[in-house]
Amino acid sequence: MSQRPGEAKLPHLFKPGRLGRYPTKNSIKYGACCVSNYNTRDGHITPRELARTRVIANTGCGIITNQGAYPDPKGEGKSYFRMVALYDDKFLPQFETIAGYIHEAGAVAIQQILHAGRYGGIDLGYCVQPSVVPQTLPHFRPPREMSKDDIRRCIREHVDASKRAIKAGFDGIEVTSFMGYLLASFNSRFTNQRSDEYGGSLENRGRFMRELIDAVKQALPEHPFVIRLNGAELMDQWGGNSEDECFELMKQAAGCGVDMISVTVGWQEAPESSIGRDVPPGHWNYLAQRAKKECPDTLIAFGNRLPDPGMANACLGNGEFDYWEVCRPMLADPELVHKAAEDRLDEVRRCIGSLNCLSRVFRDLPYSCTMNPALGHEVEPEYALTPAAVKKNIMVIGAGPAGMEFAITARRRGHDVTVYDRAGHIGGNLRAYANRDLARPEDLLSVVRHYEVMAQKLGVELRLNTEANAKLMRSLLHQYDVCVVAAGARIDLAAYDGIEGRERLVDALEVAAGRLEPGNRVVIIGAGKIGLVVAEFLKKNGAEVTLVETDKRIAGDVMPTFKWRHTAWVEELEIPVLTSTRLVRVTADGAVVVDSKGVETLLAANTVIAAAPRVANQALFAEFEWMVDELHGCGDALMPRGMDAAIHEGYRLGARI
Amino acid sequence: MAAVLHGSAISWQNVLDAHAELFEPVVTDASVALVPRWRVDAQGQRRANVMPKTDPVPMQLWQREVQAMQLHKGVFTGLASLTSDLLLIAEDGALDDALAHERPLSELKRLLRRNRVLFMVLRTRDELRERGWTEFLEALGLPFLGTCR
Repeated sequence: MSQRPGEAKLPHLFKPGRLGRYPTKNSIKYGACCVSNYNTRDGHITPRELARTRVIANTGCGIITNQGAYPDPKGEGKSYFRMVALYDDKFLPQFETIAGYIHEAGAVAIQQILHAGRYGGIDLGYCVQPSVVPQTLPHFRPPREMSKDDIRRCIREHVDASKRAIKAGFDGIEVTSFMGYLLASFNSRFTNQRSDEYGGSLENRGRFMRELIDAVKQALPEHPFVIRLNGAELMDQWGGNSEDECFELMKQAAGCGVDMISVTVGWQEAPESSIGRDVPPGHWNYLAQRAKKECPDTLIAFGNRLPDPGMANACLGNGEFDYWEVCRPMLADPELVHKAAEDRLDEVRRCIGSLNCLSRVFRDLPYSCTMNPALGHEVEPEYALTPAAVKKNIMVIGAGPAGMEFAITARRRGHDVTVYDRAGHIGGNLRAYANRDLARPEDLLSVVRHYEVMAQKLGVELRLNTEANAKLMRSLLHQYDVCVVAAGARIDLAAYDGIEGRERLVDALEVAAGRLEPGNRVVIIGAGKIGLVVAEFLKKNGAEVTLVETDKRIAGDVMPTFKWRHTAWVEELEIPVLTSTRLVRVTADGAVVVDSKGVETLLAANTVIAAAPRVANQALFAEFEWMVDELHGCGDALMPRGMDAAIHEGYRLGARI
Repeated sequence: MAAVLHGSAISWQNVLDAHAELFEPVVTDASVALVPRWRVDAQGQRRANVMPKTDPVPMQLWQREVQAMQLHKGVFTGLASLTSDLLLIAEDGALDDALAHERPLSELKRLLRRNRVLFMVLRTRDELRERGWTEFLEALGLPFLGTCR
């Protein structure tokens, strides 16, 4: 096949490689980053999963790792309700299908075996570990110590599951020994307090891992064996392994003849971030570099917080590792590798590190992706983009995420789409929000840039600086077949009617957008995501800020992965927060608030900002009802929620209209 | 040599009283144990306290009584014999630092994130919910820690 233009620009990424006896078409490995939770409660793979894995198989990666399967019939290794199982031949038909998909796509097929150990036993009410060390998070099960018989049985189960995967047509096996899963808990000083030959010294702690590798290698000598190991546990302060110890364990694995080490970072219980968007891309690359240096004869795969193909290509070129292991960026955009190969990286939907994928899985839900509304719905024809049966002329009111997602989706299907927005740019409130974000503004701004690029490439017409109202609509009568109202939400200042001094209140969205400059002493009413973002930004820029929230806790509308970040930022910035407190009146001196005990307090301020409640911009529905054939709405214009719902609804409406 | 019990008992009782609403749903006799991470043994060696069995070390117990959360002094002899629902293990001086702060519970939350205090769960999630710990766990931000980051 002739070289595609992007392949020449990213030569190291697209350089063929070899895993054991299997050649790989490039140096990209699809990593099994987390389980999908799309399967049955008893471990069988569903049509939904098969449709999803077909997409994964066609991502263009040289190696595809299928998500982890638990190897034991009891389910001690099972950590998610809808995790797949591989402890019996009855599961094989669907694994055969998946291996077939991967081979059809020209990739090497690897099956991951995942015994969750400390995080397992989800149906059992207990988990197994080397020693009884209680959990540090409230959502896992109490531990039981594994006996030597248990260890021997567990190794046998790993061997049997591995043989089963090969029987299904997979080329090789990957075993997880990271994140606090079973092997990792033996490797770590934190959880391994045994006094027998499986505990104590590093040599002893690594014994279970070495025995397991040996057993699988002996059973399947011709097939590649990949092991995932922590380069850093981030648990060392509590007695976990130091980085030096992690690398000694890597050397043990390399000494056992593993074909590839996949280097990862962090345990589930680690109290610091490892992959969120507050961690800069490339932050952990040094761990891969060290792995390559310490284990020069073993292939090293790496991809933690390394979402950018350009950076990965440079790392590969520098010999920092051998395979770019990537998963989450391809949840966001399964076409990532193809776009890179075709020099269309500007079209990529970037993973923005919202970690919706993980936060849903850890709340026992199937994973989803903010940026990819079709993820997990590949089996449903309703989510597929098919040419429109009737080509329509569509106007969209609002160039925020909902309106733009709708516009590019509908345009892809052949409709003519024009987007109106009163602002001089697209992005809606997201742009203002992103510019004030303390984590990494460029991640959220990449969403806006993506829509700019795609609107231009697809030919979506933009009418900016144009207010959509009845007068405009009258001038456009019969020009459009469809109107989609995606006008977002606003702060509901009418909710403060009856509050003395209400006219002094300032709209938080005006402040966020930079259209209004607040004073240097600010009270913000509402500690949801808008109030928090504005408060953090203003405080960081020198203002004195106090947050007032009627609820018992702040961040009620913030997605779980960012709740703790906001609470941490509020504490680090020392922003006073008054919860269970409401606004009574606004005066020239500030805001008078009352707490749950009825105590009134004057909070001195020269600006009082209303950041809650929000209300949908629905007025246009009534105004346009008799002016256009089809009238639809999507995103916050229907009900104020957030970017995730906006993008998903925009897509769904665009896919069916 | 015994480990030092961290933090003033009187002051922690004040903190518990100030946050009484967090503990209102907690069932009678449920408790949180607070244990120093290290002790120094007779040979002058530093030893970790949080083991299945350990030499006796002083601990604080925040125990729900009929009226309110009450602070008691206790003795920790290892995880195997501990009957509390939750365990907080503090580095030297961490609890004193929390108490010295204007808002000790907020500081405790910060210390958890900074690894100066470790939290351990001694019951299942359902048991914790049934025993009324949800408010307290959420106040410490614990449901949102972990891998979802």
